[in-house]
Amino acid sequence: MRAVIADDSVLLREGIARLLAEGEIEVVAGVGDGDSLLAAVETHKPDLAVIDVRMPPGHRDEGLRAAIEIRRRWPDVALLVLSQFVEERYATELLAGDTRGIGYLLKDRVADVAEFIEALHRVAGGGTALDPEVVRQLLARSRRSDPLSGLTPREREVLGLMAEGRSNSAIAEALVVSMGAVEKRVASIFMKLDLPPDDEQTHRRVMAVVRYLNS
Amino acid sequence: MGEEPSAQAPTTHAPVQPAPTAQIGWSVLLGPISPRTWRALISVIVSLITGSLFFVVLACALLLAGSVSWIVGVGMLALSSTLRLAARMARVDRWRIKRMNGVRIELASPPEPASDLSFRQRQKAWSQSPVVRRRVAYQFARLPVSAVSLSAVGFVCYGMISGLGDAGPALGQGAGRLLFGLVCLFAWPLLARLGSAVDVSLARALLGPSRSGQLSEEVQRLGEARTLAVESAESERRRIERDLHDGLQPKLVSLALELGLARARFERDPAAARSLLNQAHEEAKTAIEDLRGLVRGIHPSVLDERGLDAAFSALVANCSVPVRVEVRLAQRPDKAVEAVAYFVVAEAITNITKHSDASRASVMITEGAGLLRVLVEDNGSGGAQVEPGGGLAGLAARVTAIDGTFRVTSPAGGPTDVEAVIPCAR
Repeated sequence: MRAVIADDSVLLREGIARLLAEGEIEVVAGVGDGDSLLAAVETHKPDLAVIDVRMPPGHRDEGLRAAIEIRRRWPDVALLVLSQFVEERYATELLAGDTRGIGYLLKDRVADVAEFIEALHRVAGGGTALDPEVVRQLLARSRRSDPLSGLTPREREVLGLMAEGRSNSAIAEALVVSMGAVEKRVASIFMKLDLPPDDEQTHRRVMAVVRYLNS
Repeated sequence: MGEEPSAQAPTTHAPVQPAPTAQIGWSVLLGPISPRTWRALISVIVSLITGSLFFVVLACALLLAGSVSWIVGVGMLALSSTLRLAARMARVDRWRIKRMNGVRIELASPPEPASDLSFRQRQKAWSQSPVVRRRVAYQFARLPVSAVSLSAVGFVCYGMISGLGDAGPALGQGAGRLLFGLVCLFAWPLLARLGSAVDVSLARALLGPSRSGQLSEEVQRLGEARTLAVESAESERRRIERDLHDGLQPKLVSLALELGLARARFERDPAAARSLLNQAHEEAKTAIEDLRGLVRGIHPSVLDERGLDAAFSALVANCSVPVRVEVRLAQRPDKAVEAVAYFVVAEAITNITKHSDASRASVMITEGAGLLRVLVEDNGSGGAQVEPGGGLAGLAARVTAIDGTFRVTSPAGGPTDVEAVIPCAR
């Protein structure tokens, strides 16, 4: 697997490259701004791009805009967007189109090596990885809070993990319960929220949940 | 703004402290031979002569303008030309008062009419402006004033000559007559000075900015200063956010990453883990150092505790060129003033290190007349400019916000002077 890294801090670029190496992902280019990122993606056609949101010249949301542009021009490139701050609004923009292979995580998550590499592989494999912080904002800002209040605390927990992009087995592992128990809860959530029936393709579940929370 | 530096000039403004009686006595005794008296007398005479001339010209022009006022188009033009004539006269009077009385009068200027009005409407708005009307009023008011004061001086002089000499009407005999003459001798200088002072006050009142004009200017200036203060605080916060985000945060994330990797490798590759730990250790130390720099950049605590001189030590230690520091202060200024002075020097020193190619620099802080003066000089290549959003612009805003003035003199090729003058009266 081949990846491009875009971050204006050389220190972090190197650190993330080392992380990717740890996850057996080859880094083909490291760049420091949005335009060079687009050029690098065009040249190398990587499987994955790891992108910092804030980059020169404006130090605002250049990385996010570059990510949306990459998705438009090269839809097969998986995108993992990293940021010092996560914003529900940015996640919504990022997930507005096709949601296969999209991740949006706090930069701090690089410290948990195994989990970060797992998220990398999930995104590269077409899945979704949303930061728990984003999910928290989504849940808090949900414009349809009534049905959510009909969920049991455990179901809300499962909904949160599902929105992060985790599969049923990953949720079972995180909550230390059986796979069957998770499946039962997921089915119940989908029914209570009147969502399309459960589907093991995690990115579609994430979509359903995020769209639901945002609608 | 406000009072012009005319306090020393002979005006009706009461002196701040009453002069001792002895001094007043001397001043009255020496009145007849004092140059001040004669200057005042000449100024009243000149005012009367120019006043008569202006009065006649202006009155004729106004009559003429009035007589053609019924002709559409011409009437307004005639009136506004007359008023412009009054504006010329005001300038002549300002020059006269400057020369004769040594008093500078700031001429009030009429407000600019909105540019979207027609020519006619603009003429009308201009003619009706109080500033323009007051100029005309001055020409009509000052002629009687100078005529009356000169006549009064004339009468008293006549009384003096009759009293001391033997000529003139009979005023009684002997001691009474002599006494009257003496009183007149010492009274005419006072009258001449009074006449001159009234003339100046009248010009100041009618040609200078009105009270409401001064107040509205002051309000505008304060409004601008407040906007600058808010903006400079905001840009300062943004700078701090940026420093933390771009400087410290990546270092800490990277540190956490190294530690995470080291932990992951701990079991299977202890040597690699050890080198990662070493790296993380180094990064932790630089992060601490960076944090210290950032905190100092926000506000150095030694500034609060020991004042400017102490705070400059660390600044100049980080400067790439030798800096001579001289702080001459009788006592510590207010905290706000101190902080602004510190940041002027800090920014200037940063610029010297980064851009100047200087081989030496100096920092000078002095105090006098209620003003704190901060001067940073270097012998570098110059060319420093106050650019919007730049560090120097931020400083200018901070200095202006506390009523100070900020100036950068930096011709290409150098040298560079950065100067801030801040009011610090207690």
